[in-house]
Amino acid sequence: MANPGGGAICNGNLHNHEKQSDGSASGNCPKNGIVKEAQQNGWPHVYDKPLVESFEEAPLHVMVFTYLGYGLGTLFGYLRDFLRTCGIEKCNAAIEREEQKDFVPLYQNFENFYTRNLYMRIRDNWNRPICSAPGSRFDVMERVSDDYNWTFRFTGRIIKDVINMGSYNFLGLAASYDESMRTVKDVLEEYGLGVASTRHEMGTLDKHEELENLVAKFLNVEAAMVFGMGFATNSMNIPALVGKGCLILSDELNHASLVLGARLSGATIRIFKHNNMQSLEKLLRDAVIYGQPRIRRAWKKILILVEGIYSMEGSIVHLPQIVALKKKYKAYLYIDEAHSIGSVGPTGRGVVEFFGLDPRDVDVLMGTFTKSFGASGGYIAGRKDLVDYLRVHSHSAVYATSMSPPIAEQIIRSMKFIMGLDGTTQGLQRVRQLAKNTRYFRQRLNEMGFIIYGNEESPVIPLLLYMPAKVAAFARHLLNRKIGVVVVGFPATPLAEARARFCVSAAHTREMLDTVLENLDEMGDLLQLKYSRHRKSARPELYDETSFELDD
Amino acid sequence: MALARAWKQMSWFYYQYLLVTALYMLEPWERTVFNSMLVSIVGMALYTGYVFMPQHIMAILHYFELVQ
Repeated sequence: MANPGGGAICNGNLHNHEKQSDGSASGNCPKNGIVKEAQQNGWPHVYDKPLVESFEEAPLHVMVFTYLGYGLGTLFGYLRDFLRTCGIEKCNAAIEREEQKDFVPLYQNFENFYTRNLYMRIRDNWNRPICSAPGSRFDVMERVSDDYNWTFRFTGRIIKDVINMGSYNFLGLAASYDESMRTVKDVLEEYGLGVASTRHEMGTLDKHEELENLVAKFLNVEAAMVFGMGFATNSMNIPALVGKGCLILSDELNHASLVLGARLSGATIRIFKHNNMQSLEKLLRDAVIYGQPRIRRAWKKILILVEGIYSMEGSIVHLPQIVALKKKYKAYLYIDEAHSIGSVGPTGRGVVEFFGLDPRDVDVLMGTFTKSFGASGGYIAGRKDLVDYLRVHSHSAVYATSMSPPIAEQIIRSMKFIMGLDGTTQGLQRVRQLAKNTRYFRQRLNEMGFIIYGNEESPVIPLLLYMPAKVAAFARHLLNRKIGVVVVGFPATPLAEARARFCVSAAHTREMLDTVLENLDEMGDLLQLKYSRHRKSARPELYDETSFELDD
Repeated sequence: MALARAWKQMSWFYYQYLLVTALYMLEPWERTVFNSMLVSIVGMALYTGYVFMPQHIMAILHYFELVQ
């Protein structure tokens, strides 16, 4: 029988055709080296290309110094906490009232300790207020602190024209008003802003209907439903789809909204290693063979929860293998395309198009309009009966206010722009510009010697910094050079893997990217950030090829 | 001229030391505390080595029977 897709499945073992540079036998993402996989699908089509991902491990001395740095911070944290309880130092953090001192302590757990003693010291790198539209350049309000980041005050000056490498503005649609947004202004004049009702009562507008039809057409599915908030789309709809007696298999690094929705549903949750198809297959086999834990009955439903692009790693889900597994073990698939809709794929239709698969293979396609469309809200798309069920049973439809009309019009306008329905090809050009910018930026960063995570084609680029002091120094220096980046530290990433996350946009010109890259080069030398031991040359394919035949 | 370059190089090394040990995040008095503790411990180790080095070398030579 023809291979169902994504590798050869023989006798239940999923073999991936891989060429690995370190020779380890298992896993799709070995920690050292670069993984190439040939994507093979059951039906012939032209989108057959190797998938290049890398998650390089840092040198040992870097990890040692990172842990030493955190250890020193912890020791000084204990010292400062001691001084605060003694009364020698004034305590600026939250403490319990005198009467509550005998109760169970509120602020002694590790998270509060970390916040008080480590996060507060470098807090000026987060929550920076901006005062313009988050386009390719934006304005940041300048602020200083007199007491080591416990309080801030604004100096009144504005840092203008900072290059924006942090906003999820993948197609450059989050810009200030221009003539193409005229329809949004008209809708604002006609419908106002507030909807003042839920979808079930009087909050369903003709704008929502128009938007839902357009989303279904964009994704090439039967029907779609839109919600006012992207986070709420996940957390309110997963409980409507699964319940007790069902099994959820969720990726290790799923977003908080998926985790919250899974927990709220009451289903059993099992976690598989990030993007690891062997781990997922083992869980599926165990679920099908052994059933529910004590009663040994079959699971009512098995739902696989994955994301299109994982925002902290920059990795793209191995969709063909997951679809093959889901078909073999009769499970359902829910993809959260928050970052990948509009930004990957030849015409911007997301990971399903990126891999050339049929959208009917994925049961629930979820996405948000916050990232590539410059609006807010989320959607769920799929078969008509699924969407009709959600219209009746979703918690968000019953209790949450529906999407505001000008926002719906902004999404309609952006989607028509991307699809080319407004009569120009600018949308397609932007999608291609984003792909070009992504490839250029990633290639240059790799050549410079930084450690970058993720898939070659994903516009989200984490650059590993590791040490907490370098995280702070990096963000501050770059803001001085008028480049705005987002750095991420402990609770959102593992303790030792702090990173800076760049989001490339179609609105970035080559000059802006070159400016950023020059400054990153200097920062890399100043702060000694170029840890990579696999400096890739400009043409990696020639060096890693083992044979030069046309068909492998 | 060479002194200016040496000073710049030393301050770059000091900056790297601050970054690697996470002293960069700490307040100036905490840096003073840590630096003085480090300097005193390293100083004590060097002094002990200086004081006891002749005795250790004599013991080694005695063990290898090169000198009585």
